[in-house]
Amino acid sequence: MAEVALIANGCSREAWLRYGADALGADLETTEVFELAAGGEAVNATPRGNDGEARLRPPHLDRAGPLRAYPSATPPAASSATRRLGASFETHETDHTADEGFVVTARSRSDLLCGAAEALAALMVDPPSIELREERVCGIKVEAAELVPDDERLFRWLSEVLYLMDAHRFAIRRVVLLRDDEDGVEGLACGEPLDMDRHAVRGAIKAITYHGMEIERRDDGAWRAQVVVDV
Amino acid sequence: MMQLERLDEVRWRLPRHGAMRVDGMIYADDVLMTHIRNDPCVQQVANVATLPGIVGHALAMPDIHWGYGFPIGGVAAFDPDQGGVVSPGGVGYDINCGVRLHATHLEREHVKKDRDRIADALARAVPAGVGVGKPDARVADLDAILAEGARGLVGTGIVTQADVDSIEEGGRIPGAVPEYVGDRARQRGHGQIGSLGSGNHFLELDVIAEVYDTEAAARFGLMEGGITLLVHSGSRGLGHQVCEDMLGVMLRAAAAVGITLPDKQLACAPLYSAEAKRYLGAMAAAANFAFANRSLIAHRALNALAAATGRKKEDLKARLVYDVCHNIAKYEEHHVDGRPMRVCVHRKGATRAFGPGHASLPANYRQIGQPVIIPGDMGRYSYVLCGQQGAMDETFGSACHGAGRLLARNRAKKLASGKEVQKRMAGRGIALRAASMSSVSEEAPEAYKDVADVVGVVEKAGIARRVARLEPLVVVKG
Repeated sequence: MAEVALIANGCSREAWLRYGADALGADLETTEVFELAAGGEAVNATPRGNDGEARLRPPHLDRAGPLRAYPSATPPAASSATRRLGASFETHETDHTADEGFVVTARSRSDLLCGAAEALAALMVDPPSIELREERVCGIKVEAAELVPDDERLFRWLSEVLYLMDAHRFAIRRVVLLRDDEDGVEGLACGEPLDMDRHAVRGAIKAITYHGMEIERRDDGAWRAQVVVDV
Repeated sequence: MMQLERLDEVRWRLPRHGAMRVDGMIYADDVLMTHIRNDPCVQQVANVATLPGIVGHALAMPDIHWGYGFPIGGVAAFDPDQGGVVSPGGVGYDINCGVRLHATHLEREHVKKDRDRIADALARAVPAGVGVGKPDARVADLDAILAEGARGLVGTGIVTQADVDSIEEGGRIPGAVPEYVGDRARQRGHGQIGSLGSGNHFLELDVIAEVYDTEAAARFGLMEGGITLLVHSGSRGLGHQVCEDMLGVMLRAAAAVGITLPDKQLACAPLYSAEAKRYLGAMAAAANFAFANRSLIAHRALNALAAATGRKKEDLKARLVYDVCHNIAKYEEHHVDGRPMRVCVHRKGATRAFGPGHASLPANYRQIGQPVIIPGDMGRYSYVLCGQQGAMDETFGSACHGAGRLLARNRAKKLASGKEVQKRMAGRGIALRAASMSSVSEEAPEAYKDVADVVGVVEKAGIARRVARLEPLVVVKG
């Protein structure tokens, strides 16, 4: 029975589960979750993955330190078919001649930011080729008196994720949001240093653009965002 | 659809309407107009014409296509004394993306028979694709490069004094303020110098297939059958980050002075504002980084070419023909309505193309006009032209910069895989190497317009004149 320890400092239960299940190669569609302690501090879940049962053990780890526990050295055989809890996204093809973009739909703004970051990362490196070996903290700060509309928040957050990928050559497969509030956005980007020989690199991304950027909360409460990047 | 008024074979006027302050002018023939007419880029020309202080026309070169804010292939000049603005959207994310052409004493046969080996050597020598390059101790002082550009590398063995005379603005855009380039931009740029990047960036060995103007070609050092090195790259992550960092600042600056923007990517600030000075200082620094980047790429490529052909580097007798910006905004003197005026010229996907006699041209080119280097797609050909008086009269000394995309990247990818494109290129006698095969399929020759059509228009318009045509033998892509 595999166990996984994860950072749970303030991240949502959904994000935590998604991350954990992915590390185990479990399919969340068939995951049964039980026993959730208050504050997301202690979660026990029983995902019934491809190989039967596995237990997710809620952890307490120092966020600044390295991620200590993955079930084994073998990365999960996740595929794009893996159902995502919370955020879901699709690559959006546009009619324009010099760009790429994506649309993200999610249950909450936090999941939307999380999904957008993963969609952005997927434009640079095909996610299944990336192993979850390391994590980096990534975030934006919002000044106390600053009014940051949602599109600006999304723009700045994605710029930060892009910076992490481009300046630090870090290939991102999963993003867990730790915070999304008036002080800013903070997340954990999980993946490994870029390896041109092993990773399925799709291409560089120059920048996030304001072109066609949309972010909205729909009447049914779901969130939707559209982002176009310059490649 | 916008109403375009045909003036002659290659000129189309977009009459002023709505919030436009000046007319638009598109250079195109019938063939190119079929691509342009229904493209959102025509609306973008109209959008540019609404910006404060614009003088002359909002111009579009024949390779115009949709871009962020300004169209790619767009040229516009702004008068600071009429509230004129500078807009990062008029320069683009890849600040001073540009091209550089070297002539060599090698001939077709020297490269043709060994082209695969030479291609491998070039691909090894010049980092390409996503991520960083190879460090070189001679270019370690980033602040010096941001301030001095290619000129800061004279004496290192990478750049000679003769080289800087053949670079736009002498290899250093004046007014660079390295402190305005933030930490993020520095982090992204650090270590990327001397690397191609990805997307449409490339380096090529071409053979001079045809010479149209023997005298001009001789001045430029180009002879039929000779081998040239062509480099297309820019300011890498450093420039992208400068642009991204400044967009928010410019959006707030535009709002503060009540400029109505038809498109957020046209964020701008009055040229006399602190925000504009900040952008221009950072942009010039990023442009200087790009000059140094292309210099180091060429240096690495020429060393590898010499080694792969069993020669000493001196024996290549490589000579820099010209190095020119495709994405830039800078102050230049031009005549507007017959009056001399200092204006801020934005060229986004457009080449400076100064005509004969211009004081800023090196002495040996002054009579001929500035070399204008126009790459085509990687499978067909590229052109070298020289700037004409028409450019000075009509386009603020500017010409087109390339073939222009015909198909979106995603559509191009569906046409053929990277491997298939590589095989087809090999069938045509072209050795292709790439860091990413997926970018090869996006860059397939069919994804671009025929650059001969584009060049034909600027020649008919009297903007620039054809000097030579180059055909690729070796292509290295990002």
